[in-house]
Amino acid sequence: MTLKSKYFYNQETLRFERTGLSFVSILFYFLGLIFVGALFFVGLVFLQNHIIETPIEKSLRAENKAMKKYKVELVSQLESSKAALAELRSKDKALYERIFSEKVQVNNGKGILAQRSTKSNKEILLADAFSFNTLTSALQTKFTGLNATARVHSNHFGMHATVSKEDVSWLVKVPAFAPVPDFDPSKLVSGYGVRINPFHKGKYHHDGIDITSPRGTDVLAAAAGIITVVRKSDLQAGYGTYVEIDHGNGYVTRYANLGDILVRYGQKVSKGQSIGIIGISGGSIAPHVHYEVLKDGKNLDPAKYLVHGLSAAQYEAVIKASMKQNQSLD
Amino acid sequence: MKSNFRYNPETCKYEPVIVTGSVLAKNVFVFLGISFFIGLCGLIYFNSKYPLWDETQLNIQNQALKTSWDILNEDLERTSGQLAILEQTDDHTYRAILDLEPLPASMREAGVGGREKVSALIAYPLIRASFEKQEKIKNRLDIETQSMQLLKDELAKKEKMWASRPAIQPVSNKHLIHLHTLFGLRMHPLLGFVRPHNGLDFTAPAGAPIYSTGDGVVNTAQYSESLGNMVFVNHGYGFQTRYGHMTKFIVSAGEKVKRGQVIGYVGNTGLSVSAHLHYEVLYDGTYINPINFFQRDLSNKEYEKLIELSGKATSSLD
Repeated sequence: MTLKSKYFYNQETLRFERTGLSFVSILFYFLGLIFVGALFFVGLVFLQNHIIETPIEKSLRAENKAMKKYKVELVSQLESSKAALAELRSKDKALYERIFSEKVQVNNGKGILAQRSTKSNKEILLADAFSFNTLTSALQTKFTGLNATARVHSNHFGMHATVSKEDVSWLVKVPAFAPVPDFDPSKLVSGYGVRINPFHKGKYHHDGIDITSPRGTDVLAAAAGIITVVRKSDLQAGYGTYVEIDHGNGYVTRYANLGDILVRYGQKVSKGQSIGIIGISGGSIAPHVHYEVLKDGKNLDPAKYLVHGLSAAQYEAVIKASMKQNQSLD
Repeated sequence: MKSNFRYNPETCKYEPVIVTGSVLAKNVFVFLGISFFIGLCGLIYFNSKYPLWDETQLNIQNQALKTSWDILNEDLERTSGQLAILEQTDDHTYRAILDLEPLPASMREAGVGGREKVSALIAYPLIRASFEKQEKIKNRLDIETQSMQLLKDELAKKEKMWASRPAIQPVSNKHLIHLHTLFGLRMHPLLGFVRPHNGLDFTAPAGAPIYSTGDGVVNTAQYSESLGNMVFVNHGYGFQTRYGHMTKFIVSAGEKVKRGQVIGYVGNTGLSVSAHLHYEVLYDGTYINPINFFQRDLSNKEYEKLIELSGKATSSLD
């Protein structure tokens, strides 16, 4: 219909003239189309986003709602758990101090958690980049210095090593094996030196170390040797049931407060052989082995001899554990 | 307004175009139809190019919530780890020392009694997993709390036992002149024949205080022909100590005594040649050499501190 020609009356020429499809009117028509189209677009988008709900939206919305709702609940539960944990920790601290008569330092005490620093290492490093740089360069210098010193001394050590090679047979006689299986620093509950007596709480010299293990655990020979003392006793004091091994070279080890003995007098034992069983004989408040190392009749700190199979860090932990001025198990 | 005309070939005349309603409606309809089509095309193109706006918003919210849940989960893990350390100490230190069996992990996680589980009602696996973790922690906390209580009670029991055991010298080194370490058969100085000497003799000036060597109950405090003024203390757990030849005793039968409490004074009563304390230790009715029940290397200062300390009431664990 629009294709049919249209005419208009030209008042100047006084004639009907064909109406030309002007470019402007077509442009306006299209602009109108686009404008209304844009309005439709906006309307459709609005419809799509606010009225129509796709299944994905529905599930997301439900999930978000659930996450929000349960988060509140879980947070409150977690908070109460944390409170309970904190209470447990203080109980643990009290119990530990009670058992070992030793004040626990919150930061590195056994049984007490090291308080987490609120800042992560990264944050600390980033906080002061300048001082970090200074520190690293200082460390670098120190390291270079140490390295140089080490190089100087390495010759010296090498010399010692060759000297030692000549006679190392005595080394195997050193009681280096821990007297219980799966020994770890946490089992060493009381070290050598002045300790608190568990019965009267007075200070006395504790001649050995106390290594705790459940009843029935094997007690092992610290090195090869000959059994020189086998004493079974149900006396409620002193060493109770105990064994002594002579390793030669003046080394003697003593294993006291045992539950039972598995060797006889004069028997040869090898390193790590079971010689007895953990118990609570003698003057003892808990199942443990009271372990002494003697050289030429003199008591030495046995903790220093527990080297077999321990890493440097573990050995350090053992020494640290043995230094605590706590209560012995006697 | 210029009106339009149309050439009508039938009438051979130019006729004005009359815009009827139906024509107008048709025009408007076509216009709207085309523009709707344009809008629709735009929407389809837009949707293919960009994600849905509200879905995006929900997704952002979802991610944020998931992150906060991750943090919560980490917190749960951390709490669980911290609890594990406590459990470890409980099982391997306290229980080993207090002579108790460690608790198996299954028992620790089982918890106490039937608690309604929130986790069972949650359809979302991630949320459910977190709640299950939290419930496990809760159970372990309950068990550990119980366990701590048990350890505390057990320790209190043991402490009573440790406090009861004879563990100190009955006479202070300050007063002690000589300790006769002879135990067993010996010639009796007054009777003149061999008879077992079942205790140790602490020579000290008459009037020096005698301390109870452990907590207990006095079961006898009287005069006897041989031991003179004597006190028997029953410490329980099979232990009994006896103190003889006192000038006088200051406790009476049935009285509770603490370790370090003065029960009498050194004297020369009964079959005795000089002022001394005769001290015996019995375990299950048999005499044991008392030398096993005190530290001889304890310094005077330490000893006095002990005596002083034992005068105070022992603090409780709470």
